Amino acid sequence: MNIWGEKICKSFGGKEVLRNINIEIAEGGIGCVIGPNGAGKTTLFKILSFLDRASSGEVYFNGSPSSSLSREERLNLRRRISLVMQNPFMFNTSIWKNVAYGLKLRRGRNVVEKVEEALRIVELSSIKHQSALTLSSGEAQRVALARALVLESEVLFLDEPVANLDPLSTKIIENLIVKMGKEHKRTVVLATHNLLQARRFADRVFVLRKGEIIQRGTAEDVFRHPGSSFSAEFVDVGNLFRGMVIFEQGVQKVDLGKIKIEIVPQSELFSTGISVFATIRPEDILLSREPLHSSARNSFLGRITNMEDRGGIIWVALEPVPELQESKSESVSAPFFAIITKRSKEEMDLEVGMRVYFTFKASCVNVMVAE
Amino acid sequence: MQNILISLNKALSLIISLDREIFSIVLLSFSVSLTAVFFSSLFSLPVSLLLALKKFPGRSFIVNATNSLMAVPAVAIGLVIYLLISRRGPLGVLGLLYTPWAMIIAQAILVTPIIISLSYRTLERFCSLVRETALSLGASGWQMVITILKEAKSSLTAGFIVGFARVIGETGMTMMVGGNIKGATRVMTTAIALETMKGDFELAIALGIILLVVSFAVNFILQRMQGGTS
Repeated sequence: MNIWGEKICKSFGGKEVLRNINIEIAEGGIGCVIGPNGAGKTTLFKILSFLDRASSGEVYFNGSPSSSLSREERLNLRRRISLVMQNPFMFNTSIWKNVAYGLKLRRGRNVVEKVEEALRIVELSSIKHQSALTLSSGEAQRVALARALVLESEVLFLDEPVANLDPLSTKIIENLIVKMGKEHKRTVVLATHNLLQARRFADRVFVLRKGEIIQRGTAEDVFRHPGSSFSAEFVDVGNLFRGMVIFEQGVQKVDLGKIKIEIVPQSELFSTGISVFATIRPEDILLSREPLHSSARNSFLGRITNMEDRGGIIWVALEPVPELQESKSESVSAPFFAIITKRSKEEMDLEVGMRVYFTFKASCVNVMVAE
Repeated sequence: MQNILISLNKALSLIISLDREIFSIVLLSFSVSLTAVFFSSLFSLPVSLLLALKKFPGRSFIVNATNSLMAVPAVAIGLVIYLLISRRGPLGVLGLLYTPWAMIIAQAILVTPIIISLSYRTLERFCSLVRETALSLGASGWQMVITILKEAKSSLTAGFIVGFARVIGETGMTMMVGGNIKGATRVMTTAIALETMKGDFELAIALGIILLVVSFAVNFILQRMQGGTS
């Protein structure tokens, strides 16, 4: 099933949440809507899965407009699509009955087999008779996924499926996403604020910011040519760089052009010259006036090019400068972002133009192959 | 003090021996109040659902009116009902005055704003939790409403129990429209009031104990239910 949104706008009480969204969800494969929290991802998903209506614009499915549908037709269409919310509500009954809910509504056949199979996939068979109200958020998310899986919907919308979950649940859910999208050729659409996740799964990417799609394309396109302010928009990945794997005196590093950062050795990246993305969370970067003697493997001198107050925390943009003051005017590269508190800024007396050391551990660098 | 102890002793033996008069009074109390809550819920529940699920003009007026009606004193309701169903009143031909049905009607009217007010808030809360989940799993409009009712079941029941406790303990209004006729419309509260005024404490104490046990039981059930849902 193709779903195609045209000029979708949505306002809540005069506040515009979505503005002129054109989006096409093609059959099969994994699509990904990425954007920071509050960008309108959830609202967009509700409209595309026919749970909510757009203020203006039209949603087409397989080419026909949905606004002309009767109530009955709309229900039938809705039953071909599933949406799993970020904080799913668990019905006050057993896990098993939660999973069976959607099938019972449809008076479906083979309920027992389907439910058992879905529970096996999300690895919850052993506790299926437990109350669903006693679950951890990771288990609840898996139940919610199983509830949608049993319906064998043509399109599966997953709103932030692994945000803040335990590693085991994350792994189970991520494997499932790949299985559904790549093996079963179902249409899966993810919403995430996590670039790495989008990078790993998505065939097609839509970047949503403040209710507008600011970039779209294949995952490769979007990651090769990130829009101007694109990388900095995401709290999770303030620092996204493209570089090349090198070995310097037997140590595996990523050459970012101006500087070379040390990473935790990774087997699949052994060969020199492989192109990679490296990400570092801004909160993992430490600033100091003097060089630090610590266990952290990466420490560089940088010049503060910008400081921005974002509600109590300061985003500091740093441009790496060579320690030996040979070449003062080099080509401008993407800045590093670090987050500090207002108090740190005042105590360290930081100002734009100042030179500081920025330090981060090799284990804080997340590397993925760019192919 | 001596007198009280003697009365208490006699009261307990009345309860233990399952005195027929006491038994019939307690039975009537329960059947009147339960019937009142039942008829009220036939009206209150659909209204609460409507208030919780739909936004329509006049909705906030109904909500405010319901909240105001909760503050109307029971005797005022008793007076109005009395005037309506007394022999010369507009509904006098029905011959309802001083029958159990008069008490049921008055208690149902008293309890309705309480039940609506509690139920609609409960349903509103559950609606916001359940609605999208049910719809996203393919529920039709009706199936969604049924799911909401199922999820809200124990909270709704708690509201009904609060309403029941309110009316079974009501005295003045029930006396006015029921008349406290022995063997016909004498319920626990009106009997206690009468026997106490007569100075005949045994029956009053026996019924008082039963009424206390009822309210403790109601509280206990409510607490158990709240403990179970949180």
